[in-house]
Amino acid sequence: MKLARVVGRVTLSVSDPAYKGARFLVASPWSPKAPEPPAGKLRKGNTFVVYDNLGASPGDLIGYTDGGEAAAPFPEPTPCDAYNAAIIDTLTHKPLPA
Amino acid sequence: MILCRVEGTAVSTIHHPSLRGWRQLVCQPLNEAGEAVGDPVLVADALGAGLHQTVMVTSDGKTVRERVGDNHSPMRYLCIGIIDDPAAAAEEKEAVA
Repeated sequence: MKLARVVGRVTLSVSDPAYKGARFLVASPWSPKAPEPPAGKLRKGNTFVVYDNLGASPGDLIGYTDGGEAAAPFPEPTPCDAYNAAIIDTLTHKPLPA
Repeated sequence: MILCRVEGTAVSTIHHPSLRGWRQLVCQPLNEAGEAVGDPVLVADALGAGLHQTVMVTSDGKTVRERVGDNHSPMRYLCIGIIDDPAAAAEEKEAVA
């Protein structure tokens, strides 16, 4: 899983039938090097949409999975690139002093 | 498989059911020279890797799903080996001798 900060939500009016009742979040990749974007603002990096059925809201740190594994949790084949697998409560990150 | 350095842990109570009981490590991928490449990723770990240890991580979803035992698991990175630290091994040898 990769880490991302949720910065917004997406609501679809017309969508693929496989997305019935789906919830989408706008997430910005978390990086220890880049400063945290202020709440609700996007970072310059690539911002993407994550399928979510855990109930994450803007401001949460999430662990999402991308690529082929993102389509694994669905019962039938579904076009999905990023799937929210975990809402991170606490993250301890102690890199080696350079 | 990629080499990573363990740099922390992540705790999550709301997650996909297949992640239940799996320890999640924050690992920084390394290149062959041991320098950091890209951003840290979350790696599931059952071997008990410690902080700042170098681990071998597989990113093959199929292997991970078989190991987790859930064919619908979104998990992707799994720690499958802890690399021996040559310096630590040398110290141990001296301590024994």
